[in-house]
Amino acid sequence: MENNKGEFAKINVTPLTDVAFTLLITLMLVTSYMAVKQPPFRVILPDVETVEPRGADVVTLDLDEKGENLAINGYIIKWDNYIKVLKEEAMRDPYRLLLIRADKGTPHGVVMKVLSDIKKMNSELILEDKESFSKIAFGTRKKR
Amino acid sequence: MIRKKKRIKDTDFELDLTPAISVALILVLIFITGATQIFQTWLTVTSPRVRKAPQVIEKEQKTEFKVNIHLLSSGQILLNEEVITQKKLDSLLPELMIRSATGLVLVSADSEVEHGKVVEIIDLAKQKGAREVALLKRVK
Repeated sequence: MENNKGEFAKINVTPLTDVAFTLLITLMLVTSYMAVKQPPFRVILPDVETVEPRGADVVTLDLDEKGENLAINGYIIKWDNYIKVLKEEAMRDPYRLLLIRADKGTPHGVVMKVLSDIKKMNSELILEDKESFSKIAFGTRKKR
Repeated sequence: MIRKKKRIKDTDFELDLTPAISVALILVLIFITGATQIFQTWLTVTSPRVRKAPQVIEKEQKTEFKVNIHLLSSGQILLNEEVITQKKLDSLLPELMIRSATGLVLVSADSEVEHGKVVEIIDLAKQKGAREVALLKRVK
């Protein structure tokens, strides 16, 4: 091998590194803030234009297209058992937002069944001042 | 301080940044692909609840324009029990929202209607100035 001597054109990689690290840090911060578990099955969220401010403290409830599968906080739960799991979540911290991520093809009746079950659960759960999951939101995607 | 004017020779120690950059770029790619949820948003709704004390409400009664939207499984939209086209609803909603003291929109739908269609209506109501959207269950 010939010994490399003399002057070489060198690319200055420092700005590139700067940009890469800044991007990395930004994305790390954003993802940690948005740390919400993904649905364990395929859910195509409805597209919307409205964007509401988001918080991190949520309980997620996912519904698939046919309304057959249901997941709470990323874990598939049987329909017979889901209110029990929700009740446990409500007991842990009742003032969190309940994020219902239903597929855009899910029948509205299934979503309403979940909502009325939660209402029923609230009447059984006696909390000090407020009902549990008083804030409910539907998971959506920003129209692009 | 005295600055050294001596030119740095090629033989001096140089930190090779290439592996660091490649690692950083790979991490960036991982985060970009894993960050699809960043684009996820949500729409808050009020679940149906019993309104109490009608006597109190009577005392404070104002001229309230109610906005009650119902979606039929046939695809038709009912605004206060009257069939309306999507286009007309778009133009009517802002006006109704201005006149409404509470800014409340009640949304209901047949159980066969797709969830996406209901969310579209909630989105539209919020875009046109609704302060609160409540979901109602319609008893047949």
